[in-house]
Amino acid sequence: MPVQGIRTVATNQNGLGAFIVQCKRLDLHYCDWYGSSRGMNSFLTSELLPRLSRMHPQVSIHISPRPNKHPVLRAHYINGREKAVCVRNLEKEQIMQKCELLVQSQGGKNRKIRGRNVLSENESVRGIWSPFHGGIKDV
Amino acid sequence: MQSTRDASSGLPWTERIRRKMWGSDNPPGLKDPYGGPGYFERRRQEAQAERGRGQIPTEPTIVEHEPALPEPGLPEMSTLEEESAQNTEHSHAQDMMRSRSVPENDPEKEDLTYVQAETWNGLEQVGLSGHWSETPPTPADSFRPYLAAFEKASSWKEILSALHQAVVEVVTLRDSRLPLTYSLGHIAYKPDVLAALSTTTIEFDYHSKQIVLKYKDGGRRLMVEAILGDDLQRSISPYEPVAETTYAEVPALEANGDTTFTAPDQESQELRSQEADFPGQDIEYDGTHTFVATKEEMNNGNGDQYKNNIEDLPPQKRTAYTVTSADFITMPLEPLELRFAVIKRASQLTGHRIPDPLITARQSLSSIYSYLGRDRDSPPKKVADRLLIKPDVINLPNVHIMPRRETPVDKDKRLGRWKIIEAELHSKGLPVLGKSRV
Repeated sequence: MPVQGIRTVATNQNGLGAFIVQCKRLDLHYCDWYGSSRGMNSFLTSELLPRLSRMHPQVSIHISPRPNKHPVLRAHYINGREKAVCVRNLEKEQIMQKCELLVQSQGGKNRKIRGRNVLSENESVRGIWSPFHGGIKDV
Repeated sequence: MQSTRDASSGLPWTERIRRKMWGSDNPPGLKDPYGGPGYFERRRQEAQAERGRGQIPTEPTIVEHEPALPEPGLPEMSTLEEESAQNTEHSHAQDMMRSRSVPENDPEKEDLTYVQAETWNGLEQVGLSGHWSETPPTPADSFRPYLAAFEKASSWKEILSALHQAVVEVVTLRDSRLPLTYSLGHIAYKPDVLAALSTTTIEFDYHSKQIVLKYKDGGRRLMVEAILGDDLQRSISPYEPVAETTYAEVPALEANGDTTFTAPDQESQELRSQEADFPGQDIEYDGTHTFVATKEEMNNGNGDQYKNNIEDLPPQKRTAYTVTSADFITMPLEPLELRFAVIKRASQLTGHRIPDPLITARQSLSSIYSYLGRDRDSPPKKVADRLLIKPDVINLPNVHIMPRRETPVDKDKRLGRWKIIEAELHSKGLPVLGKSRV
């Protein structure tokens, strides 16, 4: 009996073969009248929007008004999830940072990244506790 | 009680208890530790003292034994309170009746046509009712906004002409050593002055680092005469501190029968310096720089003399001329006083307010020129409209601009299920967009 290999399916590992941007669509909503959209309107009419578009050509950017509402960034990911960020009263540079954050996100839920406990070999400043030093209390 | 048993002693029961507590008939402390006579008793005593019909009692018990007040026609009272109180009231009433009866019985002051008013309608009001708007105007209330002289300039030609005129006027005043704001009162020039204005070229002298003017055919003299001539009265009165001096001098001059106001010495000196600037030319100068105020303007007793004569003039249409060269816009305007005077005059000529950052930001007039030429009256364009005409945005392949709100129907269309939804709604006879079709 010939030796058969184990049948398996290659797992998707983004970044190993071809990198696929997880964000597929970015909605930019603004209001023409609200003062909280001042930064958003400035962002849209500035050179930051073409720069964002050129930096992320894979992402489809949709701009539409949202009358009488605060400005919102809404990112759609290929896993079917959405992430929305309210950008009211933010400056255009801050909105650019939020756009970068959403586009570079993988679309999953926010998780708390836990590492191992921090250990140190350095001695404590206070030293090792000794029952014979310091304030000795009578019980 | 004890009060009945010891009534023969004549002491109040509180005093008896007090003596019993101390065990002595002469206890220490105040003689009357319980406060003395009350308010009504003291008031009664004061009233009696005012009438001078008896001694002021120190104790209420003493008042009890005083004789009754000999008021004629008063019934005799049995008790102290009723007697004194009614005496006081009756005497007050009689005093008031006496005081009222004097003018009524005076034949000289009696007015047969007198009709007592029942309401306040039609009655003469004395004094102010307390509202600030009823106070007569003061010299400080004489104010005319300098922007109210001209209609708003809308075209680039008008704005450029206004800036040119402002620079020429102010620099002419500077060269003539006159106050730079003298030209603020001039509303209209004669055609020859306008021609001189339009033919004057503005150049920048790099040696002295200031703006110089090149006149044609005695244009400088024409403009100086126009500024100092016919319009001097209008130019000085609303804007210069000369007007305040004039108002301060009004009572003294009026007492002397003189209605001619003399300008301060500074202005005379400036006129003399102006005369020195034109040695070969004939400039009228009579020693005093005067303007005349009419007697009617000063004698309005209700404060009308402080009202400005041109306060209610409507904005006039300014005559714009063609400026041959617009290079003066990029020339630096220094010092700051000159720059401010030019901008103020330009603001007046164009009828537009200029924000402070523009006044202090740049040295030249280019930013102000672009600001004045901008369309600020029409409503702002929507962001989508502005984006749809930007070539660097509409040429981006991955940017999609929707000029209206994105609805759930748009999402269904994008996902390709809207046709199915619409067909199903039609088949069931339901409204497609939430509204029934009538």
